[in-house]
Amino acid sequence: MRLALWTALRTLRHRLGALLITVLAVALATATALIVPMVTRQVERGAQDAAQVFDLLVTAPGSGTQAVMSTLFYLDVPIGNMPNRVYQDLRRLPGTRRAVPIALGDNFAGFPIVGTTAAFFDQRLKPGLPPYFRLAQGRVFTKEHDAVIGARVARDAGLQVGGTFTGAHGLETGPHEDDAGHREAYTVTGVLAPTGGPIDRAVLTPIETVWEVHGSEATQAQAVTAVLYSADNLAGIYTAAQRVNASKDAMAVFPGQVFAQAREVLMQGQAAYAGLSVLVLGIAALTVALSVYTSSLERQRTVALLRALGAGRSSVFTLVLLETALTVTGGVLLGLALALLASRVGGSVLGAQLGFTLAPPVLTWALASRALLLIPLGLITAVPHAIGSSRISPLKHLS
Amino acid sequence: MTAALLTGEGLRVRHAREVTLDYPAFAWPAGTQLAVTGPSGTGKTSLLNVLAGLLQPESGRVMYGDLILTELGEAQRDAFRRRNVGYVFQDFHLMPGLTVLENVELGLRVAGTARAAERARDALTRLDLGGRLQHRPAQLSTGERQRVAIARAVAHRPGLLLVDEPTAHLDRDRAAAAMTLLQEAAGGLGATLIVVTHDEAVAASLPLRYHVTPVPA
Ligand SMILES: Nc1ncnc2c1ncn2[C@@H]1O[C@H](COP(=O)(O)OP(=O)(O)O)[C@@H](O)[C@H]1O
Ligand SMILES: [Mg+2]
Repeated sequence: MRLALWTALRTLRHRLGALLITVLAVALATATALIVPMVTRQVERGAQDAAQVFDLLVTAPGSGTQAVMSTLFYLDVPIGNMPNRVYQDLRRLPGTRRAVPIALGDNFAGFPIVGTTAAFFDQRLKPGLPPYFRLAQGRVFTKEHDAVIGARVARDAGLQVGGTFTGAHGLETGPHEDDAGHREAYTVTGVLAPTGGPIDRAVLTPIETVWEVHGSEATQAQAVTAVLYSADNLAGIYTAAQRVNASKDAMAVFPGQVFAQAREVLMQGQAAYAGLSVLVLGIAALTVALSVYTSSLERQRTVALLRALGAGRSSVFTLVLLETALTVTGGVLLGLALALLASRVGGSVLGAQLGFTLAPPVLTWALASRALLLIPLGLITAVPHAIGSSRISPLKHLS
Repeated sequence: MTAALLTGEGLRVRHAREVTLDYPAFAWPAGTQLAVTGPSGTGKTSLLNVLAGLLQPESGRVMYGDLILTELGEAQRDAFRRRNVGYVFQDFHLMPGLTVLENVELGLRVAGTARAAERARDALTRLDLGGRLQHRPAQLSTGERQRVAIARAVAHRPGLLLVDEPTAHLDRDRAAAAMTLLQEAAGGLGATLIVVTHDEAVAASLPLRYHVTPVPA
């Protein structure tokens, strides 16, 4: 074994040029197979967490997807507003753990201004866990025109605790920006730690601020866009959902269900991609096989010499397998590093487009094992050659 | 390894149906230095290969001390070869990808010798190659390459030193120098030295001679 390793390392060194091509092929295949699932997972993690801090999303009736996209991800226009009564009913419902109102309508530099209550900051992924939204700086808002801003808002607008800004009407910056009623300045009281979710680009303010800003529209006063509802138990969730859906004013959406649908679409794409990955990995395995066989004349000489010096067949067998294993392992490790690097870059590009600060990529065992599978696969392709090599007569190449 | 009495009797090697090689019986005490002579194609190299355990004769028996070489299995002959045999091949068979030092180290590693790199350096230095350790074989002259091959063959201190046509690639002066080197090396080890040659001058420089003649089929 030590003889085989010593010899393998030195013969590989001698063939470094050809070897590099094989290593690169394996590395690129590995990276290709991993980048998309890794980036997808980065997006999913931020998005799923944001939808898991509550049980039920209550909005004006309409499309469930639109409800999620608008009130949770701020990527669509809201369906409409609901009477404040819907919120009050939910709040008072027995078994309610938390009802967080959301009122949308204005923006700051394109970032949605989200009116809500302090209960928003009490939301958790699971009852036992610490609050999901953590302040990196400052404190929660206490009075109207206080603002707690998302990590990305702070970064892009260069705002810190104590900074001020003014909002504009509408959910996006647009022509109606000079609306006179919206000019009172907001003061930043806190900055949230990055979550990788949509809240990174939100401006949170007491819901009364939003109501006050829109105060002139008297009948619409104190309307809410959505309620993020959590109950103490499953029964409570279903009771609330039934109650909401029974009225004409609102609908209840299980964000998990909307996600399941979205995921299904995503997974179909992923399945096609996984097929492609297998193909790419297969090509990489072929490259390995090819490199094993193209090196064979030179290897026959090496092997014959080793045998002539007195090395046994098993040493030769081990040598061939080790050379392959070292090549493939080198390629796979390089590929994993490449995949991590590329999904970090890809994640931040995609995150910038979606407006999220994506969590750093994580290489799960499930994903890594896809690539690590190349090592046994490469070894298997090398076995026949290793057997063949161990049977080479030393005399054939020495005379 | 200390050398041992080397004997052969009734030795017949068959390469192909039409090539049968018969060898006269021999008995060479440990430390013998001898030339194997005979015209080209008479089976001199084949004899070395049999003695190295690389080639199994069709019949006959070779003994090295107590060991009946011709009755050993392949793995045992591999072990015999790496422990007891140093073989200087006619074309040297150095590995082009390894340095001079590594080529000798490889032989020692195959033999399972401890401190292989150190001993390889010693062997090469003794053969005046101390300044060439990091060179590749292709960067050396033929004479230097041969000395690397000799260093590899003697570094693990074998009892049996087999040399195939050592002067084939050398001019007269260098051939004589190479022979002196081999005899000194074998003498230092107390090893049996068997040199195949068709060169009369080379044969004359060795105390004993074993002549292989073509056998009519
Ligand atoms: N592997 C082999 N297969 C078939 N014939 C061989 C083989 N090796 C040697 N021979 C034949 O055996 C004879 C002796 O060869 P060899 O031992 O190399 O002789 P020498 O070294 O005296 O020139 C030659 O006729 C040669 O062609
Ligand atoms: Mg010959």
